[in-house]
Amino acid sequence: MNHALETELTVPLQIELLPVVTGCVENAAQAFGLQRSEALALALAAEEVFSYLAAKTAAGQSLRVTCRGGGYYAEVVCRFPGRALPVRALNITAAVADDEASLEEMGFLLAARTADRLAITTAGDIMSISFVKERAYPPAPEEALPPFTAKGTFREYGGEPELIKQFARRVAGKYGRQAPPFFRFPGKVVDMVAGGEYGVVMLADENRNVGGGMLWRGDGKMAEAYGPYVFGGGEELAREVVDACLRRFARTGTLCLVIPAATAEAPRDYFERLGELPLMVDGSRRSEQALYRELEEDNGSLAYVHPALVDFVRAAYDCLCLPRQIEGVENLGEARSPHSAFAASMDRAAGKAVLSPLWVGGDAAESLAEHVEALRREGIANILFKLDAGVAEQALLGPALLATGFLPRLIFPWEGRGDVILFAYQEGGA
Amino acid sequence: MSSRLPPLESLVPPHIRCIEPYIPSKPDDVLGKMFGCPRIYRLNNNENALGPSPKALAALQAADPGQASVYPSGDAYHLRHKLAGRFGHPPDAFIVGNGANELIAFVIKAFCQEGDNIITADRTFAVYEWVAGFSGYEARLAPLRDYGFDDEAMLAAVDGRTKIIFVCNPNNPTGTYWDERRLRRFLDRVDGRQIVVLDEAYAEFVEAGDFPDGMSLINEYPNLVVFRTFSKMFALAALRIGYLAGNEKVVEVIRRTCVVYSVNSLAQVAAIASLEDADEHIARTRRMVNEARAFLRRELSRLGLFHFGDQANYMVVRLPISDTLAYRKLMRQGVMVRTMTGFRFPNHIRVTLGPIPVMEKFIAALEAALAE
Repeated sequence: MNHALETELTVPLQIELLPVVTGCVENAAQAFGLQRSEALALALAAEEVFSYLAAKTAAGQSLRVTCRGGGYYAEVVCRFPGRALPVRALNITAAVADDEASLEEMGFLLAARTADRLAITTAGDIMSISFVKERAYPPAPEEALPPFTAKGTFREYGGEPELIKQFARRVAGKYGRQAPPFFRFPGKVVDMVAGGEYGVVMLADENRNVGGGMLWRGDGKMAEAYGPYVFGGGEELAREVVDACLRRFARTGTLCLVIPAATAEAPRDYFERLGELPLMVDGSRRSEQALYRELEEDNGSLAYVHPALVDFVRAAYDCLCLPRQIEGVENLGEARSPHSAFAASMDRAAGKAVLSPLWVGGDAAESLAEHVEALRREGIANILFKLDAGVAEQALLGPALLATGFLPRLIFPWEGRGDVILFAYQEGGA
Repeated sequence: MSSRLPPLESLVPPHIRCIEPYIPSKPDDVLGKMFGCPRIYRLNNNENALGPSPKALAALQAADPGQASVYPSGDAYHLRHKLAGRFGHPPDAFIVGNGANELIAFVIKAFCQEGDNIITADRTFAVYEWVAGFSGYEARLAPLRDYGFDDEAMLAAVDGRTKIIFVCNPNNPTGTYWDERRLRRFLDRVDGRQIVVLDEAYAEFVEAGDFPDGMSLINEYPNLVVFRTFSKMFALAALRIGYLAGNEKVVEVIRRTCVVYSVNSLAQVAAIASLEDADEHIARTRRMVNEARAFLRRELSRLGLFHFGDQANYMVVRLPISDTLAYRKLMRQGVMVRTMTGFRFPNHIRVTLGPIPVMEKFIAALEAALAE
């Protein structure tokens, strides 16, 4: 459950009301814990959206601005009728030409780059654009914690801040780069859990020494988990950690749990293997093993797949015994939007970027190639793409992905509206 | 006409926002297509494979379809009188509901208000916890001890805002039960301060001599409310009918929250008829269940699989693979079981005990699934 704080404002799209919007966003973001410079970045994003819409939309329209504080981040969501945004400008590869239309879009380009994350969604005739800025946190103290030695029996803990900080430090200390980077910022992990977006279970001994635990993120049908991390006690403790984690998911409505980069301690009889993802880390090849665990009975769903990917998808479903009805989707010459837009989330420390579609248009292949080029220029060695098989429109990207050199690697069941197909870019393609 | 979605963020109360809807399994024809199996053996819901008793079947066949236009008896008048005769309590000591799930909601609505809590076990029938949750009341869950309800832990969880304690006897899914001595001791210690609901959905399957008959304890313990159902032993699950019994004054309070006319006429007719040949039907069903249990025990031991469940018409099996993967593998072979991760028993499945040929199919499918 997400315990985010929220404030909301509905403003007529008249340019003289711009300060009302920026003031609200800036103040709310600071109240939610962001530094002033971070809050200003969000205010800039809202300013660009408001200014653009005020100039482009008919009189009488309003913008609904929601500011949300999720503990370790603040978010601003702008909702408005119609589809007036220049989505092309949201690509990380967008360049501004020297014409009037492009100059109008320049603000969006800036806004897209000031946010840590952004997303565009549409529901009926309402479009939403959301910008997320995360708080900066100090790293963990440099001195290492004393080695873990268990005393007495283990007890299960949830969201106790001091134990979470100890857990994060132990994870970062033992697993290093194998664990997600946020573990290096214990205060951030505390806020991630307190905000309700993340969950944690830890087993600690009589002296409140944390022997192991798991962390997960999941408001949707699929939860993404990290671990199991154990600092002593071996296989049996790992099993207890996983048992405790699964019990926490009972009767929550979450359908499944995926560990994208499972630790060696993950008990194999609790999980199914989704496959391995080859990555380049610090110049050497490494594989991340993705594990999967359903939490409820899977009674099937629909997957929209381009014919070029049907064989891969069918084989993956067969291997996992997943009941899926595959529906072929391809473009047969019908009109489509000229431009595509892709969101990119980057972990520079891990040299990893994940692209996902914001908007599917006719220039997908060119735009993807530009993204790959731009990311490689930035030194990103691992370029991944997530395609939601529950969204028919996204299936149209199949040929463009293959042509650009992306190869399908894994399927994450229920991650999006449907299952998500993970592609990895490989130079030269198949 | 406005096509705007209502402001759900402000309309939906917080305790509903954090609850996910329960999605029941799809119908057999849809599942058959999804999993590529022509026939599905449902061993997931603890239904009675023998079907309704002969008298219930005859009553259903004799029912006049033309009566579909007439409202049923709003408070199941004849059925309550029949139950009164069978159990020796007045007709007003009974409420008939659209399955036991509806009765759980009636009781919680009758006694709980904001800030109150109910107590049950962590690994038991889910509906007590669900109804409390989506009604806005806290469900305190005492962990099972040795697969059974832990009386001490439940008593320790009681506070001034505890209104109802739910005890599932025998417990679904573990099949453990409190004997009469233990139940009496628990009721004595509660000392009438809270309502104690004794859910006896599977009571008719139990043959143990020390198994308590909740119905006979109502006169001694006025805070005791007993649930029974026609879905399990009497095989009327599709008609949705169950009942509760308790002290008349307590039941009168619960009746204030009842939705009248929620139990249809066919269900009432079939339930009345079921009681007429109940003894023969129960004996036949017990024979089938006992044979199935003996067979499964032998076969599961041969496969080296830990299992438990000595009472009721189901058993629980611990698997060396994920229970949800086992579900999919078994479904591909047309066998449907209940996964237990949702019951907080990861890697366990619950299987309904049925006729030997079906149990043989289950064992063969399980062996194949584990061999893959």
